[in-house]
Amino acid sequence: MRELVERLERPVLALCLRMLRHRQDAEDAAQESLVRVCKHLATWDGSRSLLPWVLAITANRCRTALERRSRRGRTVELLEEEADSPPAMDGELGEEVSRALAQLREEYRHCFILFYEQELSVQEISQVLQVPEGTVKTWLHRARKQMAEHLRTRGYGRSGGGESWHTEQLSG
Amino acid sequence: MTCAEFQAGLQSAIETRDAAALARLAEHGEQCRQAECRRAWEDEQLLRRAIALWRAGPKPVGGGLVDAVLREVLPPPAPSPAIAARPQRSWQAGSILGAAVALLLAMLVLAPDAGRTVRLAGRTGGTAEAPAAHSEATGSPAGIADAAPQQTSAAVDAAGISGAYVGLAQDATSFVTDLAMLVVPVAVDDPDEEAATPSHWFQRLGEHIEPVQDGVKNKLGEWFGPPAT
Repeated sequence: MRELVERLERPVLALCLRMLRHRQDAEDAAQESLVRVCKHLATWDGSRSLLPWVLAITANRCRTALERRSRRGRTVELLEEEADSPPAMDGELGEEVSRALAQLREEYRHCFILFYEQELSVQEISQVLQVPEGTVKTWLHRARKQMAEHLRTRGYGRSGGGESWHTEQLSG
Repeated sequence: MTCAEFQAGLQSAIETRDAAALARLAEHGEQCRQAECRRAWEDEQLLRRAIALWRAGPKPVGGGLVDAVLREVLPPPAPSPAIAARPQRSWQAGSILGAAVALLLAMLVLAPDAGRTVRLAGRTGGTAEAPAAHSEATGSPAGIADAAPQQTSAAVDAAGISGAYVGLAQDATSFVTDLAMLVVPVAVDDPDEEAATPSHWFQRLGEHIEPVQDGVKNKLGEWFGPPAT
């Protein structure tokens, strides 16, 4: 049991952090998720991959936490920096993705995280989020599009290094 | 490859993580003069680089998360029943034994002369001065000694001595057992831990002994006769 929890700890916590953007909330949701996984392990369909099933439980826990947060109207200090912070340098491109994620719609963000961080397939994401595969493809496409737009407006262009795509278009 | 094919192929390659398909699309993406194709390809390049850096960032570490989950999932280790019950049983048994010893001592102290009489009767083979009527009525050890005043053989003497002591021990034991049965269940079955503490136990022992105090005196009188004055 310990080995199972240790293996699942990182992806579950990572998903919770990305979805909730709050350390304490994420740890609580991760704990709840892992407890549920352990208690309901007998209900897992062994013919399917374990991780999507675990992440589906985690995503549900995160949604519940988000609903709880919005019901309470609680102001939380989110992990991401403010969007109007100074433009990032190229070395901070990874952090800029985190900032962009914070501005995405919840569905797009979940889809993006499951695809790029958890490396789930479109089919697995559709199982986790309980939506059709076509919806997942649409959400992923829009998430990528908005992410790219955010990065461009933050100073990252075609060849990187802070070169703005818009500036390039205007000058070119 | 047309621009429409390129854009559809790019979307599909991204969704299926098909690196070979992306490599095939690279030529068109880099050379096409259509703004849409160029932009789609540039976005793909930018996102690939950004996501790689994002994924390489610090990984979350759940401090104590595993232990917290296991504490909630796994049942706590139960203490050994024998070890858990031992201290309670220990003081209960000690209290019972102490009460029994105290009662035996009380009996001997309250009627020292009678005790001496019994011992004397046993040693002399029934020459002790004990009331015959009392002895006949009770069948006490003293009575056994008195019942055969004329017996002088060693065998009869030995039988009289051993019979007297065995009878005394049996009567004393059964009395103490009866008294303990009367008192002990109250202390042992009491679910209230505070009420079952030794001080309460002894208090209750006194309360329970009080009603039978007369009975104790009568029993002692039967065994040893009236106290010497």
